[in-house]
Parts: sequence; structure tokens; C-alpha cells
Amino acid sequence: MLELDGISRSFDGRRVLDGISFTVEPGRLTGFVGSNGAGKTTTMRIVLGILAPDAGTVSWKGQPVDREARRGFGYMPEERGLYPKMNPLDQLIFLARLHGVDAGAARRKATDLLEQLGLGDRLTDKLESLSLGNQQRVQVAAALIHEPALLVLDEPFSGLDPITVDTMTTILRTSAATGVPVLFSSHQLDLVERICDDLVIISGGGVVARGTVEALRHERAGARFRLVLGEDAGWLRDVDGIQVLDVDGPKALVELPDVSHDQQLLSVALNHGPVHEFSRVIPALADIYREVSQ
Amino acid sequence: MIETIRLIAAREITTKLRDRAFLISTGVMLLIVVGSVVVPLLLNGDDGHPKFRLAVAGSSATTIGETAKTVGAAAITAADVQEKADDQAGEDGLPLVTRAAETGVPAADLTLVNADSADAATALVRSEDADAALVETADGTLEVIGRDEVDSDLSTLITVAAQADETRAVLTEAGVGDDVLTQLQSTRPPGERLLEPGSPNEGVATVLSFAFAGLFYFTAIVFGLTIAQSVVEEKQSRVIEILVAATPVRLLLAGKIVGNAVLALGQVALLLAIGLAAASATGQGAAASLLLSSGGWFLLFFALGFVMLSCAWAAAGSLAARQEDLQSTTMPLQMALIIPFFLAFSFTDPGTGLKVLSYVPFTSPMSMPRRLLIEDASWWEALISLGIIAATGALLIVLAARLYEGSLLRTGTKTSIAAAWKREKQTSA
Ligand SMILES: Nc1ncnc2c1ncn2[C@@H]1O[C@H](COP(=O)(O)OP(=O)(O)O)[C@@H](O)[C@H]1O
Ligand SMILES: [Mg+2]
Repeated sequence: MLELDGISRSFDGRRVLDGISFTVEPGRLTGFVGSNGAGKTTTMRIVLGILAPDAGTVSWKGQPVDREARRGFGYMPEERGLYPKMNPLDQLIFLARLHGVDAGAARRKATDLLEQLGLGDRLTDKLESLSLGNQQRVQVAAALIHEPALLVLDEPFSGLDPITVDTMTTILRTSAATGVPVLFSSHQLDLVERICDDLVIISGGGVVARGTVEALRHERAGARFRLVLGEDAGWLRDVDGIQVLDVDGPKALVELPDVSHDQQLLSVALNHGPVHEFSRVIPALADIYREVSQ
Repeated sequence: MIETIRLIAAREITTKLRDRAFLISTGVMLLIVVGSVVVPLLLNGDDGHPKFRLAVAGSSATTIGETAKTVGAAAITAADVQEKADDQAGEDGLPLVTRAAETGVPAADLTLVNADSADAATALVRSEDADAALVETADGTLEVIGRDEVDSDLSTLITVAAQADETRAVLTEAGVGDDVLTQLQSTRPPGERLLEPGSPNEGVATVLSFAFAGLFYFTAIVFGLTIAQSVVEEKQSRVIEILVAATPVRLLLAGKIVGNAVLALGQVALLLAIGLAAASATGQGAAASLLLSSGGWFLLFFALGFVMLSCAWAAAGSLAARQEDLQSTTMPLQMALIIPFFLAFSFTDPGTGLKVLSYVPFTSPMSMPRRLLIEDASWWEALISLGIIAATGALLIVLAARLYEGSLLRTGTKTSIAAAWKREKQTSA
């Protein structure tokens, strides 16, 4: 388990991170969300030891993280890039060995991984001669080559074509399934909602929401209901104690003072005519995000 | 830790060894070294003595030609004996220099070409089949004919031969016996003994010290730029962030320097070895032994001097964001090499200037080997000079490593030295 506790960091006197705390659990995909400049990259660099925090600690398996532990982490930086004139195979072997994998294992693993990613016939071509999509695949392989104990990926989906997005999703899921904690940042909320287990939202230098995606959505659901009636729903505006957010012909969206008032609303509606649909509205991640990061 | 340095160094080396431009330039340098040893020999004839073709017409011309040929060959033998004696004298430390070759008879290999007539001999000279012709004129005197000039060695040989024949004729006429004549001719001139001899092999030593200085300068620039480029390549391609996440910045720097130092030293050692092989294969014993005795010192100065500068090259590379920035960020370093290079070439004679330069860390890798070659400095002076380089190197490494660490992750734009120096907690380890 990776644990961040009270991480702060300033640049040129401007505080970018102010007491960031969250955990990344083994076997779970944790999405890290925040607007541009919120400090996602800075946080990840601190986890990897590329930047030092001004305050706070990063712990790995209960111990303050050290050089040796970090050697076992896999990282895909937001700014992509490998050696342009080196071939994918040599490149991966070099990186694996930098992470402490021995030569023979590094070669086997690099070959396997590249074949798995469909690059089996490009092993010894210069990286710069590969298509952009294939270079992205090698970049992914570079993060996975040493079978990392923790995977940190900064905007792994940005710039990917839809097919590679699916490949990437599978890779993240597979890694998490082996018990590895996976932390990835993204601003594509629909994607995050679809694939991640846990969510951390940062804004204004702090964590504004964290938890499982389901829990967060229910927690923030409020008492919003959707109705589809047999006739025009305009009369709902005259009902006391409810707030009508939207009416569109027979459809309406209303907010109750409390969830417990739902049966009352339903019976009022039934007294007025047929009710085809009556459901509680659970906000999408995007709505929560908009709400918390104001 | 050692393993990481080794790994990074190995990557630098294999990358370079696969670089066509590097292989070609190394090949060209090898050719230059071999060429500079072999070409002068080809011009002079392979034993180092000049060769002449002399056309002769008429019996007295032929006789004198024969004598000139004999005298020239004798001088060659004398010179060879002398060279061996010099070598031994050098080994024994005896300042005994007996230069038979300097008694005025040039050592030269003469080939006679018999011509039927003076006109035929002249034609041979004109068609460049002979270097000169020795002919009898209508009034019975002898004449040497050349195209645009007559080589002075050849001219001297002919004069000496003519005088010898004249003397012989006069003495024979006076009734002196053949045995006395033979004895007279084999009389050796007195040997010379210098009380304060200049350093032996002065010429070779000068050529070698220029070669050493040139090698140091060019290799330091070429491999220095390689280090800087390799640093920028990692920044520009952004792979640097993965590297820094996997390994401490200092190991990255150390690996880069070790890798390039091994390459540079290997290349220079290869050039020296080829030069040595070429010199001994072509029988230039003096040059070979001088190279053998001074090459080790040179390599020492080279290695320390190179490491002293390489860290600064890495820092200059890390201040740049793109290859195009290198021009400006490496400028101070290029200056720090060019100016010493010209200074080292301006002060080559023993004196205060050369002495000072042989201790200043940027010029000493060029000037101290020069002093050692002309035996103007002893081994302990060289050690002091090496110590100064090492101390300067240590200081430069600390300063440059800090700049390197402070600017490595600033991939966006060129970093100023001041900004890199601030370092405000860039990395944690
Ligand atoms: N090395 C740095 N020097 C100065 N400012 C920085 C540096 N790195 C990041 N910042 C600033 O910190 C803020 C957070 O950046 P970042 O962590 O990249 O955000 P995100 O990844 O969420 O978009 C931004 O305002 C950025 O300009
Ligand atoms: Mg970012």
C-alpha cells in the first residue's frame, strides 16, 4: 500500500500542494483527478522521488519510502519519451537493468512484453522509426518492464487512439489484478469513472474527495428524482416543499428536502395521473467533480 | 551503485560504437597517424636516406660516379652504426655523441645509369629518368647537369668523389702504393663529443609533443561535445524523467563520464599503439622508443585532464534544453580549451612560460608532456602537475554536478547558471 501523508510543496514561493493525503491500495486502480495545474504531476513526482516535498511523508508498506523501494516502482511520466535512436529491445533491457533486473531476465521479459504489445517484429528498429502509436506502446512497456510493485502513470490515456485506450485499460486492469497498487491521473472523467475502483480528486492544493467511485456518487447523490408522467409535468411547480430543477413535457427533475420524502412525492404524482418512471438520480462523476472543484 | 555506473557507461559506449560518424572519424584519424609516419619515409626512401639516379657518360665520369656511389653508401653505413650507438648511449646515459654522418659526406643511395653520350645523359635528365647527369664536355672537363637544380647532397657527393679521385691520381703518380691508398681512404674522421648536448631526438620529440597536444585538444573537444549532446538528448527526448526516477542523478553523471572517458582514452591509446606499430615496422627505432617511454605519461595527463573537463561538459549540456542551445552553453568550455591550446603552442621552448603552463591545469595536459619529452622536467614535477589537475577536477566536479542536478529536469527552456545553482530542492536523493 502506498500512503501519502500531509504532502506540501511550493514553487518559487507559490504553494502548489498543501497537505495532500491519500492511499493507493493493493490490487486497486486509483484514479487521480484534478484540473490542469492542480498538482497531479507534482504529487506523482514526489512519490517517485524526482521532486522532494517541503513537508509530509510518502510511505510504502508502512515504511517511509527509500531509494531501494522506489527502484521497484514503475512510472510513466506525463512528458513521454525514450531514447530516439535506440531500438525498443535494447531500450527496455537497459531500463530493466537500471531497475535491478539481471541481464538474462531483462532480455526475456523485454521480448515477451514487446510481443504481447504487438511489436514482435519491430524489436530492433530504431524507436524513432516506429509510428507514434507504437512508440506509446514501448513507453507503456518501459513502465512495466521490471514487473513493478507499484505502478504510477501520469495521464496514461492522453494522446491515445481508441484502440490503444482499450489496450491500456486492459494493461492497468491486469496489473491491478496481480495485486499491484495502480495510481493514474486523468482528466477524462468518463474514462476514469468506467475503469477505476478508487478516486482521489484534488483542487486548490488539497484533496477534496476520495473513496470508491460508487460510494462517492451515492454520498453526493442528494435527493434528486426523475419522473416521467402520462401528461405535461408543469403542475409539479405548484407543489409545495419541492424544488423543480427542470421540466420537459411529461419529464421532470426535482429536488426533495430529504430522500425520505420520496414516497410522498410518488403518491402525489399517482393521484394526479399515471407515472411511467420514478427514479433517484445518482450524479455522474463529472457532476461531482464540477461541484467539488469549484 | 557500481553496477548502475557500469550500465550507464556501457550504454554510452555501445551507442557511440554504433554511430557511423564516430567510426568513420576514428578510421580517418588512424589513417592520419599511419600516414604521418609512413609518408615521409616514402618520400625519402624506406631507409630514411635520399636516393638518386645519376646518369654518367664517358669513362672519367663513370669512375667518379662509382666513387660517389661508394662514398654515399659508406656514409649510410656510418650513419646506421651511429644511430645504434646513440640508442645505447641514451640507455647508458652517456653523453657521447659521435656523428660520423656530420663530417660532411651525405648519406645517400646512388644508382648509376650509363649513357652512351653526353646528349643521351642530358636526355635522361630532361625525361626525369635521372636526377642529374655527370658528363665530360668537349674540352675534357666534367659537368653536372640538372633540370632546375642539382640536389645539394648529390652535388657534394660528386665533389667529394672528384677530389678523392684527383688525390688518388696525384698520389699514384707520386709512387704511393695501393695499400697505403686503401689505408688513407679508410681513415675515419675524428668523432665528436659534446659537453652540453641538446636533448637527443629533438626533432622527433617536437613532432610528438605537438601530436600529443593536438590529440588532447581535439579529443577533449570532440568527446566533451559528445557528453554534452548525450545529456541534452536525454532532456530533449524526455527520457530523463524515467532515468531520474530509477537512479540517483549522480550515478547518471558518473556513468556518462566513465563511459566517455573509456571511449576517449581507448581511442587515444589505439592511435598511439598504431603510431608505435607503424614507427617500429618502418624501422624508426628512435621515434618508437620515445613514444613508448612518453606515451604512458601522456595517457595519464590525458585521462585526468579529460575527467577534469568532462563534468563541466555534462553541466553545459544540462543547461541546454535542445541541441541548438549547446552552441551557447558550451561556449565558455570551448574557450577554456582553445585559449590554452594556443598558449601551449606559443610556449614550446624551455623557459618560464612553458614552465608556468605546465602547472596550470588547463594547459598542463599539453605542456607538461612536452617538457617531459624534451627532458626539461623530471617525474616529480609531472606528479605535482597531475596533482593540480586532480584537485581542480575534484572542484569542477562538485560545481558541475550541482549545476547538472539543478537543471536536468528543466526541460522547457535553456537554464541559466544562476537558476541551476539555486537548486531549491529539486531532487530528494
Ligand atoms: N519545476 C517547477 N517549477 C515551477 N513551477 C512548477 C514546477 N512544476 C510544476 N509547477 C507548477 O505547479 C503547478 C502544478 O503543476 P502540475 O503538478 O504539473 O499540475 P497537473 O499535473 O495537475 O496539471 C502548476 O501551476 C505548475 O506551473
Ligand atoms: Mg500534469
